[in-house]
Amino acid sequence: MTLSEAWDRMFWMLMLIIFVGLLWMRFVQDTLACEGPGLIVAVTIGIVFFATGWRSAAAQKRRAAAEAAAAREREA
Amino acid sequence: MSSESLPLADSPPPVAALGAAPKRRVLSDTVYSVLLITPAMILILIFALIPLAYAINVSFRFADLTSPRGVAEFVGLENYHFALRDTFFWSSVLRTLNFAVFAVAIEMVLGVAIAFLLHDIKWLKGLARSLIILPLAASPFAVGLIWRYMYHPEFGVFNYLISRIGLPEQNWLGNSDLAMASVIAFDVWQWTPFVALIALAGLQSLPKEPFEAAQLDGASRWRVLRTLTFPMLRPVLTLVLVLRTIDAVRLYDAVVSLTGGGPGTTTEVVTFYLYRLGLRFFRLDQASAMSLLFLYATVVFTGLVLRRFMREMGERTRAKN
Repeated sequence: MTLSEAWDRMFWMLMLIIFVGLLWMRFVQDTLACEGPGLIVAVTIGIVFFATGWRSAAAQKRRAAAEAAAAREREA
Repeated sequence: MSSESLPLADSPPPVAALGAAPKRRVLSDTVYSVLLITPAMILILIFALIPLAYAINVSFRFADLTSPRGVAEFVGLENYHFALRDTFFWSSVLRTLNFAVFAVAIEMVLGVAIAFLLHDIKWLKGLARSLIILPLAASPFAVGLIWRYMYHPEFGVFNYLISRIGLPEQNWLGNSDLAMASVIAFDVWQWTPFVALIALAGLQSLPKEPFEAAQLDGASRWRVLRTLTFPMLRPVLTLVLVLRTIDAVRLYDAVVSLTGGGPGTTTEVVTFYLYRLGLRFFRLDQASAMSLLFLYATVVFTGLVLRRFMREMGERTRAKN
């Protein structure tokens, strides 16, 4: 993952954390009456989102490197 | 004499031969680019980031300026909790969305239509373009006051015109069924030229070859429009749509000059409600929390649209290559 991709992913992770947090505050907090679990759930979902993106970017990079190596071998 | 020793006619004489020392690079590209963007960054920092940081800080505190405590202790997410349950806030959000959807849709349709007309006319092109820019050049607040008189139930020009064709006179800004439509009409008048100008620039930058090929193939005008013109104009139209939507949800001056949020709260959009809450009732904490929620929604909307736009542009560039 390049720096700009990581930054982009982090930005959307932050937006997702805020969105989940707001949903928690609006719909769940009244029944549970606590903010802590909401924060944990929101951050966890954000981290999962970031990690998934990181893994898929790494896999894509590996695939591209393998394809490039195969192409070089064919040329040789 | 061998050809190697002859200087090429097009190549410049070597620097050393002219007796001048080679230019030494004083700054690297990175330092130079950082220096260039520094003034803009400083301005953004002063006028955007510092107030934003202050608003974030206040949104987590108790800040009632009518109370002797002023900006006081940390209250956690209480202001956000209030914002999510404030029915006035959500009503104003709905009104803002209502305004933005109708105003931007009408502006896009009219703007593109005007752009096509301006693109096709053969004479007085420059004059037509200059005239169409006029609403854009005027201050929204000043023009809003003029429109307020035009909407006046007794002396307004609109009532005069509709009475001439036998229709009943209307209280444009005082009738709750008409007030928002009147604000939309004002916004459409002011901002349609913007859409028209950008769409016109897009139309003029389109390559001629595909259209000539379509003409040779006997494609109908509608088909050319549907399969060539609009797909090629799409990036420009997307950009205008994003810009206009962001601007429409920030509507403030038209509401202040035309209706002041009334009658009742019929035209009270988000920005006007936040102004009332923060600067008339002095609840800076709740107003900050709500404005940050509003900012969040705008950033996410813009980010998603631009992300899709950039992806499409990238795919298009890859397809071209």
